Amino acid sequence: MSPIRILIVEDEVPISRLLETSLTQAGYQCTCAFDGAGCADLLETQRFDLVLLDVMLPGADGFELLPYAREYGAPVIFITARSDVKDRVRGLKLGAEDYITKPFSIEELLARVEVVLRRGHKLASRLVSGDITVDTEARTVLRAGRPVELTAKEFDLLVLFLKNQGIALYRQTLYERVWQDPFEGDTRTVDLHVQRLRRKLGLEGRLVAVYKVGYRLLKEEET
Amino acid sequence: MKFAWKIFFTACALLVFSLGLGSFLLVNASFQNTLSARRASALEKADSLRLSYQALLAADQVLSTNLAYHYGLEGGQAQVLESNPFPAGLEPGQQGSRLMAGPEGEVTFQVVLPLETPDGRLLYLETREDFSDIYQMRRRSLAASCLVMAGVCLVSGGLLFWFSRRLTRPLGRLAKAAALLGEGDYSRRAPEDSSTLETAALAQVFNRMADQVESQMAELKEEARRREEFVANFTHELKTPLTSIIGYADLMRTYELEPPRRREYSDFIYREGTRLESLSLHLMELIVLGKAEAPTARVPAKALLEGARRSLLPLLEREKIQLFVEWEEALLRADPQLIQALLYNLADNARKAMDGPLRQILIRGRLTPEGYRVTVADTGRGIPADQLSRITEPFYMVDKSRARSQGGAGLGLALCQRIALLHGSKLEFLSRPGEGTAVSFTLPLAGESRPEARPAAPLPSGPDGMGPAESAAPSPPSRPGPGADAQPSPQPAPHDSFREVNP
Repeated sequence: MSPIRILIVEDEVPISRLLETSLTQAGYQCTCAFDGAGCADLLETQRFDLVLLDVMLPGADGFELLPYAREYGAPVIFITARSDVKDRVRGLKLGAEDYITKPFSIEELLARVEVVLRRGHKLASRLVSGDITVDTEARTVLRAGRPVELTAKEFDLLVLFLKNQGIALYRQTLYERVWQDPFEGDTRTVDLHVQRLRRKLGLEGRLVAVYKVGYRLLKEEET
Repeated sequence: MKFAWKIFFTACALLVFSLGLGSFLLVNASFQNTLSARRASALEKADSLRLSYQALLAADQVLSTNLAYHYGLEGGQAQVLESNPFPAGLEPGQQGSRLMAGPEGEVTFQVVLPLETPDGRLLYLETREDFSDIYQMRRRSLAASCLVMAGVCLVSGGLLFWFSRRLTRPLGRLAKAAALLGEGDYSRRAPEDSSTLETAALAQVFNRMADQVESQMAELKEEARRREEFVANFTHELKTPLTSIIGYADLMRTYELEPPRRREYSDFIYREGTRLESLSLHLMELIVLGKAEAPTARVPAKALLEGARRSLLPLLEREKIQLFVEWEEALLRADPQLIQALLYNLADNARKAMDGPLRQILIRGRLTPEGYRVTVADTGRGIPADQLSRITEPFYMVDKSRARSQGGAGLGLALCQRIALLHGSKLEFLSRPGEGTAVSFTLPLAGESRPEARPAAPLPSGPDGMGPAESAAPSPPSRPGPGADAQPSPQPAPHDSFREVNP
């Protein structure tokens, strides 16, 4: 399957870089445009699976660009600092798939991107790594073709690792993402779940602890 | 009930009543006349008959039938009676007359006259005359006048109806206009072409009121729009740096990053944080200035302009921009710190607008009848005419990405405007795209300003020297600082101007 291509249209360089970094890390291929004209040019010459569109752009309004993007068949997620209902409704009526208001968290951004892509059947609900196959929709895990029983938290933790292969993740963030609670200094819960994941899926060699940080799932080629 | 109907019915009732009463009185008067004439003639006739009878009686010839017959020929009856036919009785020797109604509506006039026979007997002569025709005529006249009245009523009723409609139509139109106005259609006006003075005046007054309401509504809407825009812009300016700060901080605390990455991200966080700080400082200034009182300090113009020059020189020299300062001496009433901040900001804006080979800024103070006029002119890229009216609005940026890259949030000119307003003036912009911009404001004089203001003397300072700006300014240096525009300026962020400028 070819990589999923996302066009980021955002005039604020730091935010554009932020979006690019996080989406690239999540496995998407990103292209950046910084104004309306650049966005239109890119839409004309390349195909994108998703457009992240800032509303306030120099040169052209995001609302003006939306129909243009739709013409090329790319679903659009609006990004804006304005949070009035009026604007949101206007964007959605024009055919935007979703709406993200600034400031947003990376997690929220990735979740929304995933939902929109899945709606357009552009994202496989299947994550494959080594002999492990995870279906994020059916929430099933196969190891070498045989189903493995995981608890809900173990499953979420596994998906998080699979999506961030090769990157060391902090215990604290792992806890917050999976348990959806503010972290209160107790790392044993995370450690326990990681140990059980290792045992159930035979990941003793790949899911490694990183000193003072947390854990890292090595990429396949690293093992 | 509709006003038109009210007028119509009232007028109709009045018409019917007065016409009816009038014609009845008329008919009745003529009837009374006829009646009394007929009575008189009947009485006269009866009297002459009595005289004739009396004479006959005296001659002892009683041939009354004959006379009665003659009388009958004239349309009456006459007879001689032994007793008084009047039911109440007549005094002997007295005459009487009365009208008698018959069973079928006929009316008879009866006259009774006493007769005296030679032998002293008392006889009565009675004549009767038919008066029915007079009464019939009255009935007929009344019927005819009723008919005429009905006709007149019909015609004048129609006219009245038309007239009352015509009279009240302007009111109806006014009511419609008022209703539409009440529903929010503020451009609605009542037609002022009505025929009567009062309704025309009413429509005019109404329209004047509507004008007032419309203009006030427009003002309110504009104010609301401005406020909404301010809030929207403010949220945008607030949330944009916050997004970066939160996002990069999130990345840093989630992933173990390589040192260069970490450095880059923390740099983003630091810079966006300063932007937030600048925004909050500017906002604070705006709020404080909004509440400040008019300045009372007396400051010589020279101190103000020279102070501005001193604070600007290092910044402008680094970017190879020539600064000319000219002034006429005067004592001004101004807040020196604020005015220098204002001049610094205007000059700093001018600096940011420089992108041609000619790089000059002129600050000039002149005595005018209105006060002391200060102008900051530059040879920058200018401001498009359609944007001039909005550039002092908070958060308004002519070129967003350029302003952003230079660290601006669009509050600088709003602040400058506030300072000018505080000194009883307003910023006036004169700009030609591609040629430059001149911003002026007027400061009040502190009572006694020296009239013998001397002509502006060029000040020797700076490597490029200073000269009168109008007379051919020294040609710009041929080396306009390579890449001076592209590099982020090493100057303090613009908000610093408000803290650092000290006289």
